[in-house]
Amino acid sequence: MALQRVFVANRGEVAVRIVRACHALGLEAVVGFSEPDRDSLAVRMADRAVCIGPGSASASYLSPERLISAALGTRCDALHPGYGFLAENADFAELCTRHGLVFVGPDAGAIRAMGNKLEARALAQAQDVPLAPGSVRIRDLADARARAAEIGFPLLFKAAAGGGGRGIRIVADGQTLADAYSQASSEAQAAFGDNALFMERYIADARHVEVQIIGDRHGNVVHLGERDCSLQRRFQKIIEEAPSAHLPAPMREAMRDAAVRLARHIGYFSAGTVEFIVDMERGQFFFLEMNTRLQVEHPVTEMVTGFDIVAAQLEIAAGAPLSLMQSGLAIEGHAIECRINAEAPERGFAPAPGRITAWHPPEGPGIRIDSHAYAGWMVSPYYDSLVAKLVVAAADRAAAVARLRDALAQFRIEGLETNLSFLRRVVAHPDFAAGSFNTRWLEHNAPALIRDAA
Amino acid sequence: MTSPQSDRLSAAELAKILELVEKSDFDSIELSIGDFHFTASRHGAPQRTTTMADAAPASVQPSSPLPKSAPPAAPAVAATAPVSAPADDPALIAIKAPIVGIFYVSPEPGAAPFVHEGDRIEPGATVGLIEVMKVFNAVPAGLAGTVVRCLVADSDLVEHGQPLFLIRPEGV
Repeated sequence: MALQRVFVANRGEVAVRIVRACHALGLEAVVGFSEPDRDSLAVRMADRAVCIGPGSASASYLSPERLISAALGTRCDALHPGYGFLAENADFAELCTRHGLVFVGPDAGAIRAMGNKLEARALAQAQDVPLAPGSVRIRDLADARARAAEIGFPLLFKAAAGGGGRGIRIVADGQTLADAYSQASSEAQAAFGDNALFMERYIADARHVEVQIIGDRHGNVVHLGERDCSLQRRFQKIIEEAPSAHLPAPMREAMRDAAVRLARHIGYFSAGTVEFIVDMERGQFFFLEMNTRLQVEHPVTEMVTGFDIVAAQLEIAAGAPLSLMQSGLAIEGHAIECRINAEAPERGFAPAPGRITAWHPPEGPGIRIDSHAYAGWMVSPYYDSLVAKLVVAAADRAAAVARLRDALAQFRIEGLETNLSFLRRVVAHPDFAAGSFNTRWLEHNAPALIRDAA
Repeated sequence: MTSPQSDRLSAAELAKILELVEKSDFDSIELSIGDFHFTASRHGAPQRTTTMADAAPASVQPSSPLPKSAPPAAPAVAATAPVSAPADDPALIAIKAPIVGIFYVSPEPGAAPFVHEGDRIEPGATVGLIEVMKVFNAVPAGLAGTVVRCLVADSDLVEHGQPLFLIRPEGV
């Protein structure tokens, strides 16, 4: 079935990204927007835009009825959910299909299977995808104590229904186990409506590496290489790069194979990401989770592969076979992305909404900006604080790091607080240049970097 | 909001299309240009022809206030109207859509509209329905006054906050 008109059920930079991909393929894009997003860039670029509700996401971007109603009323034949909001909501994907809208993503079954972390672990295990030493579902505190003795400290509590870094607790020793258990359990209940937890060994010297995969509706699945997203704060990624530096070649291959195996096993189609944690000390990697959607950091993969992931999602949704074979994949050079947020690092990275009065992004070869911002745009308090993704690419990692430093130095945003100067300090650090960091590096170094940036 | 498609046909263009269909061997024609959707048939059962119903077959329910069926050989046309700017009269107040959805002027297909231009309304009066995926939401007037203008046609998609009626409030 050929698509003609796509409803964009998201906002911000990803809405802009989807509109661009639609236009690149000659498709019309209809953007559903909330009241505070009326003047957004995606609305300006869209072929048509429809106000779907007030600022509160529950009455707009998180409302399946309003989104589908607007999509049908504007005679769209497909809906792209972007990331966040309803992108990994299996019921929503099903509802779209039932109303004759092609959901631009995997089918509801795949979303559901990977959405439950325990089920995802079981599927991974069945495909010989390595799992971190850990438990199945924990029944109660006594059960947690018994499992903790097997796994050893430090360990992690994770919400079975969780994802995106929410509902995770680190437990240092047996004394804090009871408190951590009750906190994690009630946090999981509040965030996901399900208090089921499981435990996992906490890997102190870890890197976060994820494999981008893409599949079509005809059973073809390929990987597009991996990304390293180890620079995180509170489990939120800040800087991502492709390919992963310092990964032993056999591990890289094994990881890519594991990701493709898992995706193929569940009949996965559209773009997806299989996340792994790499234990640097032991030289092992373990399955974390699979994200059944477009990833925020997808541009770094696009920069090194020349493959348009969002356009491919749309083509696959329309039933087209993959245009790429695994043997045709070439990864060239190195790309790095920084997330520029409206936040105040010196105030605990508190979100800092406000109106942008001056907007001067860097320009030049190998620089890509994915953003919805412009001078005059109001960063509203309703949504996340992401203002732009700055992506650079160069022939190798050292050149990419140099280009990133230049680009960050050029970037000027006025009118609100951002993490720009904090990012400049991060990329100026010798550890960053050397590529020697783990998932705790940023958290550990943030206080000193903030002091230096001030 | 932009509308790149020139989705408005002139009456003359429409008449020309009808004339061509009449002279042709076709029994029926369906035409889509941007948001403009047009169906006409010469014989047989009347064809239901609305933007919403065609786009959402799943929502066709016996109880739905579907817009009237087109009489045979008389094409019904439904095109999504652009948001009309409220008249300049500052004394007028707009009743706005509380939710995005499909707007209906009457409680059932074929029934009389809830309100006409010139009607006097009470705050609690229902002035229309907005369907959001099979759920029909009554739109209350919210103020007492006289309906000066209806801004939206039956079965049009309305946006959240879109003006539906212009009301001259009581005592102004």
